[in-house]
Amino acid sequence: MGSPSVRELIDSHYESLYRYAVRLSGSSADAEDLTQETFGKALTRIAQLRDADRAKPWLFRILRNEYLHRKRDDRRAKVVPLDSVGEPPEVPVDGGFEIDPQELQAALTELDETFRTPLILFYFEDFSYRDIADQMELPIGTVMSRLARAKAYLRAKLFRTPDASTNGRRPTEGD
Amino acid sequence: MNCHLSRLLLTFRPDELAGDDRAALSAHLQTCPTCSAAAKNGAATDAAIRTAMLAVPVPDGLKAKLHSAVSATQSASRWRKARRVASVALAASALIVAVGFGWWFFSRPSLSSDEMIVLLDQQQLMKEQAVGDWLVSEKLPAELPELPGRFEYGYYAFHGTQPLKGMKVPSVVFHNGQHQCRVYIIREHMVQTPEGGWKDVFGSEFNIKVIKKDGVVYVIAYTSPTLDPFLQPARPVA
Repeated sequence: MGSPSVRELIDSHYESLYRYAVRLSGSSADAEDLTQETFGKALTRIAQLRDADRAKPWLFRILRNEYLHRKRDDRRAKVVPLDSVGEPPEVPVDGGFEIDPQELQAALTELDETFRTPLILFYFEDFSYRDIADQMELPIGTVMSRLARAKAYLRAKLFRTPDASTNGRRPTEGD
Repeated sequence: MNCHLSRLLLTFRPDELAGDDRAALSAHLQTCPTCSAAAKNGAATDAAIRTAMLAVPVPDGLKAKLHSAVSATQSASRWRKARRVASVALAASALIVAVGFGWWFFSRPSLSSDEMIVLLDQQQLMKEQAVGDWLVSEKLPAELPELPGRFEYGYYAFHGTQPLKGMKVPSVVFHNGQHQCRVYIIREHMVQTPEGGWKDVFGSEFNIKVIKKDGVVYVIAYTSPTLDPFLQPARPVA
């Protein structure tokens, strides 16, 4: 199967990419820029895309690299030891509970990018552990470990009970 | 399967588990209410987070904006490509011109000062030869006398016959820019030999020197104090 055109890639993936960019950067303005930059880069590298079925992870990888490039000098992330993240609280499984997307974004933004990215990609459904590991150029075991800890953190933040209010400390890459 | 392994496998998506593990986990969940509740709890929270995660409104017009940006980039790229081609063509033309100029420049004949001096000597020899041929045609000796040096044909001006006392007298004239020297060549038997010394001829002072050789009288009239300016250095005596 030949390489698709960038216009076809836009039609197929621009919404997913934009959502990923929003969750990654926490800003809709930055997300638009990142999405546009991603397709600009794709235009110059389209010949590198051998398998059209791999277009989505390819584009996501470009976007993440662009994001990391922009954030390279921004090393102000707060550091929280991973071992401080407790067990996720048990959530009543009666269905019907909702999460405020903005509250979710606030929790994501607090996370170090190395934990945020696998978390976002995991919930974007299409990405397997293997895909995430490829995206981040990490061993799959490392991805699973980070994902488990990030999910525990997220659940603690989003499903906080009065007793669990001290659980939500952010994991960081050094943990 | 124990509960610890069950909780570990629950962190995977079902489609990422091997068939045996998936079946073992399913069997365990049917018999373990605690793990079953944890599985349902995990699935519910994941579903809630996933829903919130994807709840990002996409701006109207973003797609058109992206298409427009790509078109602009492609146009700019085409323009850059055309400009690059033009630059390469221009550079190639400049190179061809430079190579052509270089070839012309370095293939020009080179002249050495030695060759130029030889050429000058040849020209003087040709003048001397021409004068000699002419004197022979006038039935006179081909060479002017040596005094003791030979006449310097670098100062040769002209030659010809001049009317004098009803005769046509051959003469050779030299001029060095400041002074002139005229050599009249006459058969000895045709004239009485004139006297030498300084003469005032129509306001100009001439020094007259008379030489007889082989039946020919050479009357040399010159304006310089001596004849030296018009003579080559004397040949060394063998």
